[in-house]
Amino acid sequence: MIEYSVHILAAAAVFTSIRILIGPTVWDRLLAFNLLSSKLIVIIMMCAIIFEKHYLLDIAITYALLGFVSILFIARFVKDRGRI
Amino acid sequence: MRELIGNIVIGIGLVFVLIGVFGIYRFRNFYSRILIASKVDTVGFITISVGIIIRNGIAWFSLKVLLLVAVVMIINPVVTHAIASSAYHGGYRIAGEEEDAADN
Repeated sequence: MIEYSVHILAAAAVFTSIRILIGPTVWDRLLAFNLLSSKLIVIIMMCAIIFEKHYLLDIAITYALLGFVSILFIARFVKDRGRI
Repeated sequence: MRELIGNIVIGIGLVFVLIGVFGIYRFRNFYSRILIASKVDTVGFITISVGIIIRNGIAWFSLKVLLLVAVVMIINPVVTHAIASSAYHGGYRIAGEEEDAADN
């Protein structure tokens, strides 16, 4: 069941990546990137169950915090049209 | 038995995630998209994590997953608010709402 869930989530991540490619504005791309990173965190959690490696969860927590900081600063940067 | 209940909860979470992916193609408007996608995706993440916790029982693994759920429950609404606020203050408007924007 967990293996099939990883396959379904990978297909959902592919369709989210298409929205990053065709997004009309930069904010659409940011929103799709947020959704893609949360799907990747779930995939990492399921890989930690499948391979029984518990340190993969630490990688997932680090990935979540780094994605948070990067999206927040890109949003602040785009809001002022590139003026810091 | 515990594994079966966990698998059912994970399946419900997958349905929420797939609804969110469908929602970002269904709506033609950015603010509708950000409304439907962020909420549905956060709910899907929390449901799948609860399914994983039920499947594993009481262990250190479940405690780490619980910490991850707490982190995501704080940062996901903050990120969504940051993107929406950036779009509004950056000058992105819907075509029919020019009148409302002039009042602010």
